[in-house]
Amino acid sequence: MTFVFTYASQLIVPFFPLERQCGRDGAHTCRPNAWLLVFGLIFLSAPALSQDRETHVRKNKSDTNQELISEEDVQTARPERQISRLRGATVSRFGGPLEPTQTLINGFTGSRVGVYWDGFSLEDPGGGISDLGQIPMFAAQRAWIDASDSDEIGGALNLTGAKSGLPSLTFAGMMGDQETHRFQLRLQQSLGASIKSVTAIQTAKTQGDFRFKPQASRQDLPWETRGNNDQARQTLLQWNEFKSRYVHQTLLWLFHGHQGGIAGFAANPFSDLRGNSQAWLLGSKTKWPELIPNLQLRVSLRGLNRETYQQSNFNDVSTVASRMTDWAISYKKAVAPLSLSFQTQAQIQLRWVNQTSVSQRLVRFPLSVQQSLFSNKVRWQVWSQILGATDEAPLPMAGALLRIRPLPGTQVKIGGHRKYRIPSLQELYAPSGFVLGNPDLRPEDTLDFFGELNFAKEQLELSGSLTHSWSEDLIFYVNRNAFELAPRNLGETERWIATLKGKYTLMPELRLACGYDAFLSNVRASDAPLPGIPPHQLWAKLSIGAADATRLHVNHAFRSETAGDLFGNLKLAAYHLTDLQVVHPVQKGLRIFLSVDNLFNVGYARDVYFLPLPGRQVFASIEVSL
Amino acid sequence: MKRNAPLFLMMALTFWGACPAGQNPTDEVPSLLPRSDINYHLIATAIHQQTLRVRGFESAVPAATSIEVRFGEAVRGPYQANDAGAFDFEVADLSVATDDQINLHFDTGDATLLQSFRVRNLSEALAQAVGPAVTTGQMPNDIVAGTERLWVLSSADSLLQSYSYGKAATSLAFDNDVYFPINTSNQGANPYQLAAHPDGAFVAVSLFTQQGIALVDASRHLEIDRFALASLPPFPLSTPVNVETPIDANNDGTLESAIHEMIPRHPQSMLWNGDTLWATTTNYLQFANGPSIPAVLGPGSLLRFTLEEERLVFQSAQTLPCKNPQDLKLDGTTGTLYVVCSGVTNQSAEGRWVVEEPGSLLAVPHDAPEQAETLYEFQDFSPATVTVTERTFVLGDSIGSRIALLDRMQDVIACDFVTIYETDVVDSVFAITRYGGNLLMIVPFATDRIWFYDLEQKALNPWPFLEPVPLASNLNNSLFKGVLKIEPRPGQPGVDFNGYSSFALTSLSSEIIPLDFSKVLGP
Repeated sequence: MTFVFTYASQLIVPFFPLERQCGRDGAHTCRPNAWLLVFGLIFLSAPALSQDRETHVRKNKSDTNQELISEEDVQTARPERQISRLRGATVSRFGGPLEPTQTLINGFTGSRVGVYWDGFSLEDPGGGISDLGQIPMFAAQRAWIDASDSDEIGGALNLTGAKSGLPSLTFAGMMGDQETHRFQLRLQQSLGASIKSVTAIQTAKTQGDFRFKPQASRQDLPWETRGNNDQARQTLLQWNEFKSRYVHQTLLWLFHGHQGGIAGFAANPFSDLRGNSQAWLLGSKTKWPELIPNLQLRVSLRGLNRETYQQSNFNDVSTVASRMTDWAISYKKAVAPLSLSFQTQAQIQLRWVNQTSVSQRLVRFPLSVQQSLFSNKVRWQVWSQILGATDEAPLPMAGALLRIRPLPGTQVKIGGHRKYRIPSLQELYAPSGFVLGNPDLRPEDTLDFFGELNFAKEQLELSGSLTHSWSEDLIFYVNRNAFELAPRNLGETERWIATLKGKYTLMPELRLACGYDAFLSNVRASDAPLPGIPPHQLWAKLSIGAADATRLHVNHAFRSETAGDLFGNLKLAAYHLTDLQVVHPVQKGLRIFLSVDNLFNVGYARDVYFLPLPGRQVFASIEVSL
Repeated sequence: MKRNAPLFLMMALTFWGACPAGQNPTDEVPSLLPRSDINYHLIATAIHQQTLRVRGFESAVPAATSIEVRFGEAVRGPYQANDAGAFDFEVADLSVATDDQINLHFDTGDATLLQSFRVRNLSEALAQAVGPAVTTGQMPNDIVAGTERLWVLSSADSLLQSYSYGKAATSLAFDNDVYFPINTSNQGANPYQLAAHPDGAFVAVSLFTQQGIALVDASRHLEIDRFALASLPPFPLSTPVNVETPIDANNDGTLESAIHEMIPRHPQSMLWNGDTLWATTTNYLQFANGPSIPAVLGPGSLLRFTLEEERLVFQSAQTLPCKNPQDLKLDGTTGTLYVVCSGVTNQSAEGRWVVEEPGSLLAVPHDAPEQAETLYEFQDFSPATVTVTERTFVLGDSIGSRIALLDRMQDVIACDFVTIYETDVVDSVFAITRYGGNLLMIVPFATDRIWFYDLEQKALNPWPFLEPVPLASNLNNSLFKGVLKIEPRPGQPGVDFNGYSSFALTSLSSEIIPLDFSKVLGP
């Protein structure tokens, strides 16, 4: 017997919070409270929950926690970087370009947070993390996070695709260090007045074996090369919209393939471990504006296949395939005289993992009401939702939000909500080697209170928020013994999240944006912070140059020292990373980009699991638009 | 012994003067105790059920030593130690002790000694025995204590780290580290176990994944030599084995699924005997990954090296009659090596851990390793570690919270099993350490608690250890740190050093937890 097994297990699922829970006394508080049921039936649910996310963002452009997906960011090797500019969001990389990248929102990840494209969920039906590398950022138009606007206890990242009716064709190619190549094609078409179409294709690969410093505290050690790090990704997005007098029909097809070496560490006995994955989404949204106004049917089918194997043995492949169907029907009713609006969106999801006989059925029944007063200077909304799941008593969720606009350009939001998360299939049932499931897990229960202040005037935009959250029965993967890991409800966790963000346009040729997130947490069971979440992170972007001329973008990111394990003992060293980018328009429709990532060649930076980030890298891109 | 009697008396008087009755010695770092036949650290004095209880574990004093309790003119006793040097008596008259101190007079027949002992409040004393944890690198795997330096191997960080302490160790100071880099095949070193040369100048480190043994200059913190197992000749397997993923087991440049011969691989436990380094290799051919992929191993190997001009020189390789050697100990008096093989265990389809190939305890003559003898073969027990006492082999189970006791004084070795605690979940006993005499410290992996075991009385948690000593009071909800090993400081606590007497190494929380049981036992 050797302890290698422990290491191997932790390689597969390092000490990281996954999720879920209910109340302190699970048997009691997981039952629906009668008053909440009554509350839910009286009031109709919040737009936050029931409203289509795409519609929501179009109507809430004053929400400052949004980012337009900028062209210069799309043409870097890490377009997902700009997600970290959203307040409360952290992007954690597993290595260099094209490697998996996970999103953390308000300190949570995995199935505690959602990722949506045009309102369709991109979650892993089994419960794993959502890899930002799967998202077609090059076809995205806008991203946003609103803590009060999600079913998930951690919040949700929402993205919408570009879909104007103007025909266009854009081609871009990038190449750079580690033999990285990437090609993108985006075609926007309008076939008559009633049909619009967007096609986006991306293929990319990298040899990937980058250099890094083995320790932050030992500058004398020679740099090392991380091997088995080649990655390849292929993404296809097809979006079609048909609008007639009687039917509005939207179809979305999204496919992503990923092949690559799986990151390991010094104790890893499987140095040639590799993985393939395919993820796809088929989604449909239908409205009947004449027949049944304000009614929408949304249907989606989501699939994910994951294969792992050792490079030396293609015949011994471990495969996990998970699927999800999602049916949602939403209805909205406005009562004009009182400026009241009622909404609901009944939803049913079926999730299953192919290799097991178990499945999970989730039912959501939200009801909300909101009212605008004083020429929309004050708006209140309350919502409730009944969350049902296989083998679980219905769980009552509820929330309230008050928004006030006391002065032009100023907005104050306060609110709170209580949410639950049902344990994922992976946590409940799916054993993987020595990583076990735990069918006795209780739902996670989270109570949040938040306040937010937004201010915008001429060239200046400022926003900030403060959130205090209590969670019970959060689920963590911990050792059962020396050889096996299993998820377990670890009890109470407290979080404080403070965020600040500002944008200042000194002149059209000089713009500065920056943000700061503070995140403090305590897991009572270990008396330590949540692992992998930086207590302080700061970013800044300085853009110099006119929009139609040569421009320089300087991006800087700082992460403070971060707890790297559940016990709070191991620390990921603090780091500063600075990226430079020059954008030069050669002529109309032709631009070239030169990016230098990690300008100062910091070699000891680590985001999660102590996996190294690469030193300095240089990439060049060209973009042709017709 | 008689010629030392004046010295004992003088030192006893010196100590008596340094620690007069009525003074609270707990607030000071006490002076070192006089060297004598008394093993102070095996004597407990505390209030027990309204009486003063005085207990000496086996070998606390010489056989038949007479003990008196004295306070001023008052004398209680004498009480007599048994032939094993153990004693246990209670004094109902508490007037012989101040609130926190008692004076014991020992008459060994050859010498007398008067020594003051604190009278402990046991709950407070036990809480004080566990010092503040010190964080190591990731996933520490092994720890070795020298006279003034502690070596720790952190496998995931690929570091050999050293910490220093003085004779009155009340803190650990990080010194320096040695980093073992990733090789050109993208393999981390995964340093697994270490052995410190007797003169303290060198440390040998087994590099589990990179298939080598590194020699480190201890003073310069520098790897000065590395022996690659790939340079060894292959040895034939009497029974060929098959693996799911082909490997180049014999280093001939081709991958094989059916293994007929192999070179020793995955080195693990080691020890020095003078300038001779002994190392075992586990010879893993396939690592387990759940019930569908079982572990596959060849028979273990025992390698012998000599230290010559700061290099490891290979001398011999011996194929062992068992699989998966996990621990290696030397009986210095007989020159016999003891090798523990855990055998092969795997997860059944129902998730239970079962022994598929038995583990065993081997005796290997130091000068004739080819004459390895199987002392005992275990059927439902997978030994992970062995502690050798004068009369007993104590082995920990890697798939149960049990220890096995083998009486080495019998011609036919019999085995007794002792369950440390009842549990439905698989647990392991990797940490068994001799505190002194026949008093053992045992830590099941998933508990973070120390069980004391008196081999003489065959008793778990003998008084004053009424219950397991918790190592991690800050954790709850069954979270545990995973103790792999308790490493004692060389020497006699209180006599050769003060302060921490041993160090628990936790693999999951990556910590060294210092332990000072002078808070509970001794003067």
